[in-house]
Amino acid sequence: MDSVKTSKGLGIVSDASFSERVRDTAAANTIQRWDLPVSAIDDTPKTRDLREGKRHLHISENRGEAFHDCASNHPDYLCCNIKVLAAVSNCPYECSYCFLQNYLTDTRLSVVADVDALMREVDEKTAGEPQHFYRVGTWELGDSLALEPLTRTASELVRAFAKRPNLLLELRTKSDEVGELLDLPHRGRTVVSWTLNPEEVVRREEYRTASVEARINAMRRVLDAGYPVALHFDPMLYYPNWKSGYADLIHQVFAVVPPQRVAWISIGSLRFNPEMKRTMEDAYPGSRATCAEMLLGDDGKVRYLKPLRIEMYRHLVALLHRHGYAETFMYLCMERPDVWKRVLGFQPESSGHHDYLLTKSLFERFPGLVPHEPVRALYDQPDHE
Amino acid sequence: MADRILTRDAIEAEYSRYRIVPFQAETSPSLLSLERSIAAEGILSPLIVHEYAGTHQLVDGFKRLVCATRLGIDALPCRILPEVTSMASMLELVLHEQRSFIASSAVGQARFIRMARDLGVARTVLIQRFLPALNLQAHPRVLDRLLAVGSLPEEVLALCEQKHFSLKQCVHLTKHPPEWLAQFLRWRDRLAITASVLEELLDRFRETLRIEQIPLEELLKAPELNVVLEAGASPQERTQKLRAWIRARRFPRLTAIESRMQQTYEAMKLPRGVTLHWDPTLERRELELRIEFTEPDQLGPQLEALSEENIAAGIKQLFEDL
Repeated sequence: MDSVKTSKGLGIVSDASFSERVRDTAAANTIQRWDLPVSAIDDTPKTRDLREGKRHLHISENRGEAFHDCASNHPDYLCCNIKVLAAVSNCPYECSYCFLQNYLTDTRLSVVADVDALMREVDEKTAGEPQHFYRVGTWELGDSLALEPLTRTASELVRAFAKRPNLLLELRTKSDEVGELLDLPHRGRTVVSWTLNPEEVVRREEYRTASVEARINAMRRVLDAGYPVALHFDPMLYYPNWKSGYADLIHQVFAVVPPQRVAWISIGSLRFNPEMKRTMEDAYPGSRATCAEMLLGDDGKVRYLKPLRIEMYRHLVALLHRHGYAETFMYLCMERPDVWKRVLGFQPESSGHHDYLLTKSLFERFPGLVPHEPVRALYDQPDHE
Repeated sequence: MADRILTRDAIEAEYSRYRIVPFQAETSPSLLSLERSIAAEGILSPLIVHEYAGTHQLVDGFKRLVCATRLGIDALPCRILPEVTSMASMLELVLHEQRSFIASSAVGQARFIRMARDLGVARTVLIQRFLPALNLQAHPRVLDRLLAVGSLPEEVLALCEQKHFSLKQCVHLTKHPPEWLAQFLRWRDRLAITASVLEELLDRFRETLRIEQIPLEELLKAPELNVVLEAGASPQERTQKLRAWIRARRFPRLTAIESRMQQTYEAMKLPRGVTLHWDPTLERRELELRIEFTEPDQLGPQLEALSEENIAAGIKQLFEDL
């Protein structure tokens, strides 16, 4: 196996297919720019160890289905129905609560360099409903931007989505790696979003990620470059000073991000499969993420006790309202309708309705972004509800 | 292989390399029956011993030896396996002769595998040859679990054996520090310990210590804990109280809400045959009303009582907490 150390402490390897199919992609060119020797290799063996998997970056072609529904869909909990484009798998960061610890059967850190193939799949699967507006995220199995200086895959996606009027790309990150995006012709069709937690949580639970200050500075740069942004306070974590921690965080964000530039805000709390609890505690003994009262929900995931979740969400929503975000579309990620009602004062009738409401908000708040006024019927998908 | 008469002193039994369980000398009904048979007929089936470094290590016949010793029989018929016998073959024999004990419990399996490992049998042989012989999957993970169980303190293994713990339940115990296990064993006479109760208590204690960042000794000093353990109730009641105490410490908010809801429920004074139920995790915002009646004319008064003001207020209050 060929591998080289980079400034990020990663080795880089590529599949044999790289030499033929991926040679001229942005990822290949970028790696060559970094003066890193890349050579074709045979298929590397899979690994199940998450940390071992993070040591080498694999550049590969698109294999299997990359474009699909968000995996968190469950009838008792409302989902925003975002589509997922699996351009990245695994992540160089180490969040103590990361669900990938118990999810990936192959932990090799990999990026699909063949963006044309990804977009062909997206086009094929969205062509049937040109009136439907699709939000597409690349962050389900890894950070959208953490590897961008090395791969430029996200940049290629930004260019591709700029040409597709009924698609909106969401790049979600805990990094500050936005330099590659700033001069791109994005046409406002990419939302750059950040997962946000108080600095105390970032230091204790989100190892290797950018600090809050660095994330906010990165937000400022993409705002200056004309991108809309989104904010994800998800997963919110409970800890002794959580109230003041989140208050400080909102204050920091508000100082930089004008509410009218925020496409949406999501709020959610820590949740994971029961078997992951021990994995987290063993892998990150200093983590306090699982210390609050947590119980198993109907979707098979462990969550904070519902009254505690409601208290946390209400606190955050009140802070957001106080800082002028009342008009921004806010939603709860993977929450029960009754929690929505008690936190946000309304509850979508279904995940499809949630999708519709979000799209309608974008249509009204970002003129020209959504080409057609959304029609509710297009967003109701009985098979998902 | 040769048959010879050996004296009791010439046979290493207590510390035999092939002894799987502590050498038992106590009287049990099965031993009494065996003892009577030996007294009447002598030892009909020879003991099996292995020549090893100038000693005769008892392989099979531990019970016969105990009975013979008790009867004062000093000359014992033995079948002697030569020193050159391969270890794997020796263990096959042990397994064959003591299968009923070894294969009947997770602890028996773990003891056998630990013994085989200690006798120098290679991992691959343990996995490929002996795990299938114990009707277990030939997988390294299974071997590691058995070895971990086999390394539990003897008194823990004895408890697992006595309570018929499954392999999964035994493995769970290996994830806790030995001093915690020792603490629970000290309570065994005061509590009604089953595998699931032990599992639950250990997990709760572990979580509480982790969350509160205190050592076990500090938690043990909690006055409420001593009240629970010193209570004059039965072991079952003390166990319930201990479970409730540690649960309340781990889930203080949930416990407080449960208590408030229970008070509300009792204050509603629902008519006979009418009960309300809710999701104890508080996730589902719903109340389930059950009406049980055995005669048609009971239903009317039950429904009428449900319209009383205090019941409506109680239901409203319960929903506040859901």
